[in-house]
Amino acid sequence: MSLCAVLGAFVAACTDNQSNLVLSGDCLVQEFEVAGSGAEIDRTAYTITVQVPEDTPLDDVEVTKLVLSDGAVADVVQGAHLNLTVPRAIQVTNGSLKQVWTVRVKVMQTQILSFTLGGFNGVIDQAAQTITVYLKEGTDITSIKPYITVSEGATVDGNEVSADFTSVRHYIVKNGNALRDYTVSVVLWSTPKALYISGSARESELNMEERTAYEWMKANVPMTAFASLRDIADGTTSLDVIDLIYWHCAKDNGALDGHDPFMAYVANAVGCANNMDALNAAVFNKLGAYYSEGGSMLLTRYATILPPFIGTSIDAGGGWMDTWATPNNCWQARNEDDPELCGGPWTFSIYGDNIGHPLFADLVGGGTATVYCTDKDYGVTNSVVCYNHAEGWSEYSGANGYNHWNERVQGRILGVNDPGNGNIVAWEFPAKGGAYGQGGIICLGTGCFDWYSARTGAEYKENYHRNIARMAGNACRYLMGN
Amino acid sequence: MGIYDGCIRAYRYNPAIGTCGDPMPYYDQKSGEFRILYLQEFAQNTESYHPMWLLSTKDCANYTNLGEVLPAGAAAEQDAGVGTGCCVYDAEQETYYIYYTGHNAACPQTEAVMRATSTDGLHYKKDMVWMLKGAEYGLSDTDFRDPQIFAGDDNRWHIVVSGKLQFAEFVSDNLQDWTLAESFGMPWGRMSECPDVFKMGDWWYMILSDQDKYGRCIKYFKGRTWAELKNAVKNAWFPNADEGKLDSRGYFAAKTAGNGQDRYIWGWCPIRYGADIYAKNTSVRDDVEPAWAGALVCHRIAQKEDGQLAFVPVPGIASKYGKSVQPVVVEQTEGADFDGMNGRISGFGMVRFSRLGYHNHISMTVKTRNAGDKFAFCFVRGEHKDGEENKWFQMGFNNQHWESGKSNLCRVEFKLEGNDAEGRYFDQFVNGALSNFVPRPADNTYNIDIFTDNSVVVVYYNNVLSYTTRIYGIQKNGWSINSLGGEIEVSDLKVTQY
Repeated sequence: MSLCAVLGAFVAACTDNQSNLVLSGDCLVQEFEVAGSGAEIDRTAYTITVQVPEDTPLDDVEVTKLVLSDGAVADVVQGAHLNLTVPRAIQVTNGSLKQVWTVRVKVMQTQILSFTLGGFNGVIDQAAQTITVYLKEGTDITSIKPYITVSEGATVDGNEVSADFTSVRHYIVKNGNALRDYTVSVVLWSTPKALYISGSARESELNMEERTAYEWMKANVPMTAFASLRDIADGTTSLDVIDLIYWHCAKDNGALDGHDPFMAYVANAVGCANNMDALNAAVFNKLGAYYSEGGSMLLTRYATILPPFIGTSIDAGGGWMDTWATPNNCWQARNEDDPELCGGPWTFSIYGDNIGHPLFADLVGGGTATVYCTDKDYGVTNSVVCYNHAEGWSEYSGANGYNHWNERVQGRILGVNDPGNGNIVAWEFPAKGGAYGQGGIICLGTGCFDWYSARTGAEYKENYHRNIARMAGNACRYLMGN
Repeated sequence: MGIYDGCIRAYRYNPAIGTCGDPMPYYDQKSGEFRILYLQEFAQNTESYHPMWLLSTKDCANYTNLGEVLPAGAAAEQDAGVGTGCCVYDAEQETYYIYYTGHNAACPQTEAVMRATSTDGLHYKKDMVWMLKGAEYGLSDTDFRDPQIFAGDDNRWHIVVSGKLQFAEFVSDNLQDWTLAESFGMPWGRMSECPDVFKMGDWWYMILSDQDKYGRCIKYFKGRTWAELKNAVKNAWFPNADEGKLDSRGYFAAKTAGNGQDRYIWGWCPIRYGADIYAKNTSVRDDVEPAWAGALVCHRIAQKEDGQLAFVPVPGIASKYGKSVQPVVVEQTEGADFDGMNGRISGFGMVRFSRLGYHNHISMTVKTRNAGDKFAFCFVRGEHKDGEENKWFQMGFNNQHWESGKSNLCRVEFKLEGNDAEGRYFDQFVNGALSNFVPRPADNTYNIDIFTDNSVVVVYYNNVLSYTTRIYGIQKNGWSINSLGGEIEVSDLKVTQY
């Protein structure tokens, strides 16, 4: 006797050989989106992997799309909010069937890393997803081609496609189902906020070392203009609205070896007599006033000799400017067209507890006391400006040498050429009468800080050398209070 | 009934599955009942485990099972394992809140506090957004569990969470948005869980479960204010002579609820495993975790004038054992002189009585001649026959302690005793089945109540001692009252059953 026959009297459906179970539908999740980002739906593992851009706040995200198979219902509905910092389950039922789907998040990299327009890099605010490009007034922006780099694996529409930037434009980065929408705007400027200065009279006369630094600054520090020392001396360029000056002073055929050669160089550049009164009147007083009123400076190579001439180092006894507090040891080993090839990366050492100093943020190989600046087979002129610390060599040598430096030069040592010791090759001054940082001066005299290589060896491959631009960028942000 | 040999069994489900873990009682104003959420433990848990089930009772003796109210999450979810929490009702919002622990080692944090809401206290909707994570407050993300909410004297809601070796206190005005108030250390820096905070009379109390291997049991602290109570907790200022301990190692994860008049406490008595009753009754050690979950056991809380607490019999349970049974003396040994309900026993004499049932309430008054005269009750005790081994279990009242500060204290100890086939006596002290220390009566008079329900045994005396333990095999076996060297007088012996 069959079971059906026994139960037949009680269960009517049994006589039709039918079950009450409703098994005709599916419990599929067909489409799923949170916060506008789609998902990969695995119908074998019953998993839903939502791909969202980095920085998406996951603790409260809205389910913006949920499409189920016909007749199915879920315990999470479109419009519901989920905390996706942890996996979540969605229970889908259809008639008598039930299936649990697990929702997980996969963070996709969708950043615009650089956005260049007319040779100028835009300022990117990743949190606000905005990019601002500062272009000189007069630039034709009705048809201009952007050059965009994005996170690995991501794509962006409109890269290298001419477009009209007279109003804001949107560039959407995609990686999988994750999207990130950037708003790009152009600001046309006429009055500069930053200056790149030089002993050369014109941009076209910059040597390649100086030119490379200038090109970097122009592209990366918004509203940068060129000014010669002569422009400053004769008032062609006003320093009134300038927040930052960068001077990378480089030359061939011998170093500017300290106090006197530097004076002679500046006097020649501005066309005045080579004595303190004339130089003060022509240029040092103007730069000193700029510094006293809160202007900041990034000075590299021979430009690092400048600060004592504009009032950074005041004699403790007499109260006068101690212009002889200039670096005491400078040299140049090779000319630019006949460089020395580095046997490996050239480095200098962060002094004291300055590893966390903003100047050294996000460096390649960073996080230790060693600052890598060049790579194997990179060609350097080995031009160095420093305060020599060698035993018996200078007033800054010996056990008390650094303390004496602090007392006389009145700055802060940031880098030396040997770990914990050696010549002082990086230092900074506080804002006049104020604190370090905004309005201050950063000096990088190390021979490792080299922008341009006329010749590289066969094994050269840039890795650490990008730290030059990074340190320059760090310094500019730090000095401008950003 | 108030004492269960496994929750499921009590509800006439298949007795082979399931035990009761971590009761979370509350008094439900709307129904006028006590309700007890608990974590449903199955012998074979799946990846999703410990859903919350709900019981209701008016008298703490008879319970209605209201079924599962909070399922465990799916395997990948934070609350794949549901941990202890609490239920509070917000009358203004007409909303029940369950705040509970989500436990899943595969998630970014092993433990987080989560919540669900309900309008009827039976059907809950989990909050899919809100989550309280210890790491966001500089606290542990592995130990962050057992949220307990109470209304403070400051008219704010407070939630206490068990973090890693410290409690975290958050405050809220709306039961939804919580701000960290402070975190404070656990007593002696030992991991404590399942905190319960309540006010009774003029005193604030915290009851917690100490996870220490040797010290495992529930403890309490008291203070005139919540601030004073927190000070007592972090400085381990104990309110009684036995480190604030209450009951025994056989009573854990207990929390309280009050109806405005009486306050009761519910905890679980761990199930014990073994091949037979002898293995089960002795498989208790003081350095090994007992099984997780067991039978739901309820006591009434008594408060003394100085704020000290004790657990006393639940009136509803006592009245449930309503069938009077005449105890029949079946054996008296030398030194015993017993007439059925009263008598005197001296030396190592004993009186053996007729067999017990499944649910027994034994009550009597024992008066010892001297303060240190010990006595005991023996269960699972049959007739001695020559040439046969005979074993039983002894609950001894040990009122002679020479340790410092304990000379006026008494505790119940447990051991296996017997005679081998040649008639030689043997005994085996069972570590880990002791009561805590309580005061010895000044007049040497012990008013004793012993409740048994299947294997669960609860002993009370003089409103100072409660001792919850397991003795398998009580039913259908005899029992005895023993003198242990001194002299005792027994009066008003009664046995009732249901």
